[in-house]
Amino acid sequence: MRQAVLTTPGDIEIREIPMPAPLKPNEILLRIHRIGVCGSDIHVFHGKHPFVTKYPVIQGHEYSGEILQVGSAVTTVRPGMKATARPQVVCGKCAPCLRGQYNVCQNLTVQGFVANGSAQDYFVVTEDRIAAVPDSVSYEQAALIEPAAVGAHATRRAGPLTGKNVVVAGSGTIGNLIAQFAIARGAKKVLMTTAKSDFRLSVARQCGIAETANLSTESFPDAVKRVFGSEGFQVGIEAAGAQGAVTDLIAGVENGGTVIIVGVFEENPVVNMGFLGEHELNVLGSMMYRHEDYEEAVHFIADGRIQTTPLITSHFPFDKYLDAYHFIEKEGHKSLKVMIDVADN
Amino acid sequence: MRQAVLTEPYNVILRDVPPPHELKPNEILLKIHRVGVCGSDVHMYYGKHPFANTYPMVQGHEYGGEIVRVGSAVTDFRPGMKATARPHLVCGHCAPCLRGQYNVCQNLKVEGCAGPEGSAQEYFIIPQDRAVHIPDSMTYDQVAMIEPIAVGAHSTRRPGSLVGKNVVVTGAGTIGNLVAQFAVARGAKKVLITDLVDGKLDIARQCGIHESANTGKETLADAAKRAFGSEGFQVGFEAVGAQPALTDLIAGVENGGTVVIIGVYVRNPVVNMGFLGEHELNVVGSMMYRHEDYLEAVDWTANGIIKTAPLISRHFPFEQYHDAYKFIEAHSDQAVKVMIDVAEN
Repeated sequence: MRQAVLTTPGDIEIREIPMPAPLKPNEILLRIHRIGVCGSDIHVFHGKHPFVTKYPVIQGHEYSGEILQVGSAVTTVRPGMKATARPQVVCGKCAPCLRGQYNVCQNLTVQGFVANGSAQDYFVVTEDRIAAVPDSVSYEQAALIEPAAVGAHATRRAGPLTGKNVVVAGSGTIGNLIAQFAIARGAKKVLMTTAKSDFRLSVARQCGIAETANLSTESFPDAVKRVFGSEGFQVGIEAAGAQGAVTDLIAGVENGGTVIIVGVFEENPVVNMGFLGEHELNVLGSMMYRHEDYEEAVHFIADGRIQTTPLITSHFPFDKYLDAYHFIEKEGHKSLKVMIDVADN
Repeated sequence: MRQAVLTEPYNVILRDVPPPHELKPNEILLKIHRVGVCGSDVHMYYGKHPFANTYPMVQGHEYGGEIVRVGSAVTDFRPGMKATARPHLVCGHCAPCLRGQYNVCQNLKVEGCAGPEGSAQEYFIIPQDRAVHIPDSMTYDQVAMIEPIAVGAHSTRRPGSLVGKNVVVTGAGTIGNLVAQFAVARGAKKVLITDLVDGKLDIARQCGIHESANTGKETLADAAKRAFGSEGFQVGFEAVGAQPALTDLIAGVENGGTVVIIGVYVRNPVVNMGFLGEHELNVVGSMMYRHEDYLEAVDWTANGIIKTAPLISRHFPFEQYHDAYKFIEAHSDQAVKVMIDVAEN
């Protein structure tokens, strides 16, 4: 079978490797159909990911496929079903795992970063990490379950959003899906901000995110006032990984409010920490997702509450994997989710 | 009556002012016995407080006194009782006030800090709703410590239950010490307190705090290993307001753990925000206290759970108010709590 290998920063090779080994009892063999290229994949491609320092890497943690075979102990899924799986390999023994917070397992490895990912024709996953997908959901939509689960998790971290005003800083795939989840969870109003392109804000509006602001033409306080009036906002979600966004959210959120950190920061920001203390703000990290987030992402995509189609801006065949990265390098401002078509349908 | 005034940075004078006005129905007239000098008072004295920077200012928000008279509607307090009061003036109608989080009222004013005058005078009027009963068995020194004790009470509520958790408190001044004592009292498994001054760590041990480390001589990582072994720590309290303490706590706390921000920062720190996100840390501010914290501070001090005597470094008579600041300036390493004896007993 074919496998895409990021041999060294800046280079991807397609090579032939043997088929996966026979399944263990708890394992499932997937025929991979779609792989989404994630911003963190690009960080790794550029050799700038904070934790991924060893190459070669087999990428691919956003994917969908068809179940071909199941191990003897697998009971929840059968061949012929569509599926995806969480890429988290956890120890099960550390304190976070023991309290159920395995997404921050002290010994976490993530497939597609340190462990091998799904950038190949066939891929073996374990039953505990699988999420079955209804037939009505396309393989493209199913490949967006992973980033949608990031949105599901991040919007849980702030507690109930019902009746609250929410600002999402960042208009990429993650920011978009977070904003959609905030709306789906009953936020009163959601404002998405970007320091980048109007293109992404137009995609946001196609996804039902009505309120947007381009901070290159409107100040953050002005946008907040325009959208929320005197109510302000109670929750901010940082999905840009940028100093300006952190500063705006911390300065702007209501006293006692919450800022969720989702973005990856290439440079550490300065924080007005005394202000954070004196205003009793909560700055909370959000790491990937847990299984319930995957399940919720599947449900919300299947029933149309989360829109994925406007996010998918281009496709590349598997053999052109490297071209997809070059395209993102050149056209990133005009693209959101780039899909690799591993299988044709 | 006599009143101490910080006329401008580095200058405190005593002056005669008319006695307080006639009491309104809900008011209580206190004869002030003790005023404690707080770190934030010292920031103001140096002209370096981030927001309390209006002069002249009558300081004094940590105090104990005797009730001299009560207004016609005061039912719970009688002349002759000991009392203190919260220094908050809140609006009662902003969103934080309406949800009971009035300690971060959007229009908060603090007596003795920014705007309204404090208790650095012979007589002081407090309203019944902010006053707390003090048992006769407590000394006026203890009463004047209720305010910082309430800071300890409040901040140790912010991370949720501490039972069975290992806790690090950075900073062994008055606030750090009292936070650590509260962490012990709330059932933390082990509490490690750090400072750069051995004398403050000695005081911490006299107050029953389990473990201490001078982080000028031992890294926090080493000290945490010595104190907690492989268990690590789940909660950190930053009571210094300094970059290295914050950096150590964020880097060291268990994945999914909590760092509570209490310190006042003269300079904004840099935060490893991607790490905070990826490890799902909670960095939460803690602002002063609410009334329940005052009540708990009184109870726990009265019954000996919270110790205050080892913290009091020195007393100055009221007429030597300025000398107290000069003493603190000259002994900034060693001085912990300095008391102004407004009345003699």
